Amino acid sequence: MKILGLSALYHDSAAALLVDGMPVAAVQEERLSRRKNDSTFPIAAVEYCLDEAGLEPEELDAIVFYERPMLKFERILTSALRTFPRSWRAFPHAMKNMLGEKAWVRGIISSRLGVPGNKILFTEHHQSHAAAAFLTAPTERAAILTADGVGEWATLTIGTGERGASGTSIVLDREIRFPHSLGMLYSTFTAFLGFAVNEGEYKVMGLAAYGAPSMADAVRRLIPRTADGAFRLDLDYFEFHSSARRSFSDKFVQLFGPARNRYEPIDLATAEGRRFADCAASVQLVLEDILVDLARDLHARTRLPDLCLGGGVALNGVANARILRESGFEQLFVPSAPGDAGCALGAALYADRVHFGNPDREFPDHCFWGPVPDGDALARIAQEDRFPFETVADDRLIEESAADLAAGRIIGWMEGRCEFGPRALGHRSLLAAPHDAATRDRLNRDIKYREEFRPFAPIVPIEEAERFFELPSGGCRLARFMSGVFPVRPEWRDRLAAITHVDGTARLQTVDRDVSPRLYDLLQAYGRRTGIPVLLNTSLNLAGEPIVCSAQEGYSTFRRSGVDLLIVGNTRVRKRARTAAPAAQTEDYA
Amino acid sequence: MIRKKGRLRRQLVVLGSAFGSTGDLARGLWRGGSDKKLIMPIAIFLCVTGFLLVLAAGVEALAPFIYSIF
Amino acid sequence: MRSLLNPVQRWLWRDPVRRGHRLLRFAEVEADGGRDLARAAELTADAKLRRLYLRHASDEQRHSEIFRQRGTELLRAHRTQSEPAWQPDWLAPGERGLDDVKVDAGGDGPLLAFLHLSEAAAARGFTTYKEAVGDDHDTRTVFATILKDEEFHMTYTRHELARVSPRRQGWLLWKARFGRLWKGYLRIAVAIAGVMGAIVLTLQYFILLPPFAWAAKRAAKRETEGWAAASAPRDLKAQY
Repeated sequence: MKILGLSALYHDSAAALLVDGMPVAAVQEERLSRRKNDSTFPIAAVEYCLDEAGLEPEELDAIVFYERPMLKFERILTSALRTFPRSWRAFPHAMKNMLGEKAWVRGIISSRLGVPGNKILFTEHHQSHAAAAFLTAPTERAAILTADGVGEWATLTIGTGERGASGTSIVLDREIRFPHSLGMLYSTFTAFLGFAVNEGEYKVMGLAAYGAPSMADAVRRLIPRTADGAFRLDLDYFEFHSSARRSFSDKFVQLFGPARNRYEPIDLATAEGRRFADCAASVQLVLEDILVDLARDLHARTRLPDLCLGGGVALNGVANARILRESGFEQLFVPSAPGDAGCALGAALYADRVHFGNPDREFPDHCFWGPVPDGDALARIAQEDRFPFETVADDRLIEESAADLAAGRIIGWMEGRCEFGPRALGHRSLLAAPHDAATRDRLNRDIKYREEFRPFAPIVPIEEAERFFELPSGGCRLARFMSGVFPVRPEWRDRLAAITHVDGTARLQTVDRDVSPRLYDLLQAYGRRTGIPVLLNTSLNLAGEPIVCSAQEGYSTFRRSGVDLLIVGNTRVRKRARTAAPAAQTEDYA
Repeated sequence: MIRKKGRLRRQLVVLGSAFGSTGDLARGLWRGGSDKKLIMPIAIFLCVTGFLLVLAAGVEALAPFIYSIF
Repeated sequence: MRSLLNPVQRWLWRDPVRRGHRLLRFAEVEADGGRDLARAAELTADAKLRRLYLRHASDEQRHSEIFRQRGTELLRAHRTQSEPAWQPDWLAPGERGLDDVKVDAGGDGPLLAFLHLSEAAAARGFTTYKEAVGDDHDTRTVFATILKDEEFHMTYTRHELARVSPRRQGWLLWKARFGRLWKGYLRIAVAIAGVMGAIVLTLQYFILLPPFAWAAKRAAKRETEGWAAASAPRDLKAQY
């Protein structure tokens, strides 16, 4: 069967294609349209997926949308009714939004792809998250926990999954419903701290390390626990359910002080800056406590060794590491795309295995399902722009790259199919030496143009991880898609200063040679030179732009930033001091 | 190769399928218990309003005039 | 027409808080424009244009930073937490035309024509704003600095248009002018439609919703807190 999964119209649109139960392609629309967090109908992503399989839209057996639009409409209408008359400003906005487009997904898919409406299926939002987490994990039975802002009604679900020769089942038996939502709690603080919702949650997590959870009790007042072990939000502190203007109420501001002006940089030397860091630390702690509690309860109920975690909240690596350490589960699986983009793959897998009852297939344990960059295109452009370039065999490329990295150069590293998910896991990465805090500062200042308090991640061969990082049992696995934050061993912190966050931790990625042989070899080559087979790995993009996908995009990023070398496959372009490349001169046009 | 359709044609396809979608909603609310049944009239009324919004999106140049149908 | 709007502009730019917010808005628009130009550089097959687009993109990024810094300074000097409720952006669009550009459609000729007109419009706008800010010397300097780059952008786009489309350049410029007019009309049409839609939906809200709201609130009171049993799996063919 040929099944296309789609996630669209809210944030991070994506498409994923399964043929006979196996993934052929999956990509986020932003990687192709170059609009960050692109939420439009993922027409380019669909085209790429179909091209990859050599299919026409009419050859698809089913197109599966990742949520149920009419159930969502019912939730939005019911919320407006329940908050009447406070919702009067939000109501026209929500209705225009919903009824102008989002409610009519079957028609939209049908009109864009030219497929009949009866081929279009709809999974529930958290079913899609659950399937993306469970059906991509190397486990046959597992507990499942999904948590995000909101899907249709559910904001958090728990259940179990089972697969094997007898078939596949995913049973989500309990849920917490909107407006009570861990994701919305965190997003409200994201907005309060002046960051963009659905984008700046990473920043809250990074900022948390600079603060003390001195306001944790105040945060707990916002989210009291219920007698049955769940939680609810005290809605007096929130407005997200009734207002399109802001997500927190005046009472929230009375409790935590004025919100941050988003244009003002956070200065941690000031009392105001420390207040924001303390807010971040407090909400982070409360989120972790609740998640650990829920996971512990789920473990006690199911007695299963494995937990699959999905939904946007699963991007919180600090919380994930605590769940692994404290919940009783032996293994924690978080997919490379636990957020809404990953639902495209989850929806397709759910339809294939559960709805159509197709036999279980082992899912390849990697995340590289996107387009391949063209090294020849880079060579052509570099030649036109008179940049020195060369095509180098693997062995030499790896040794010389290790030497460049050891010499303090920053490399844009592009190889193979691009990652599915928000993180660069070595196929569209910026690599640098991890030892010196000055490298981190240079990356922030000259390349990433981002806040100082955000940490950079390390990448390490899987066998070497425990030497440098304090990993609990199952930690190596959690680090496969950079889903956990773990302490750097104290004796290495000074020598891994560029990747050690202020609290002594790092968001680690472990590399398996079977999955990324070249990157693995590069790490080992770097280790032979420096004694430390660890590199700094961050996404190859500039502020406000999505991670690059093609060679042309890599080159444009290379030209507009302080990256020293760009490597696409076996083609290498290098910046020289006083480069001979012609610059466009104002005088030419004076 | 995905064949591209004009905006108006696309919106007409969307409009055509909107009746079925509204039917899905009505069926769901009807089966959902008394609380959900109660909001069915307003939900369906709003969906019908939505048909005009879809039409307005199809011919954005005429959107103000389509809205005047209200 | 523009001179008639000058008093309006002076009024709009008089309040330093509003001035700060407008500059911050300009910063965002310039940054978006820079990203569009970087995209144009990635897509063009013309090496010279690629270099120019990249240079242009870097200029826009720098302008964004200049606007952001000055906007932040103004807001810091006149401490405020909230943004002004009313921001008549359509009177001071900066280079918003770039927001609408479809970089990946049409090729270099139409893009250059569009960019040329956008830059010319932006230069006219910035000249007006430079005068409208009165005795705020620092903000005047910001506009003066950026205007120098705008002149280069206007000139290179015109020269390059003549190079890549020597025969069709006049036609492309007229087409771009018409396109800008059409987009302007669409913006107004959509804004009017938006206002009409909001009025109609607000009326529906207050006239039709109260009885349903009463019923929904009553139903909400009956709901228990905490865990809920998930509903039985639904038919994947239905949207509900």
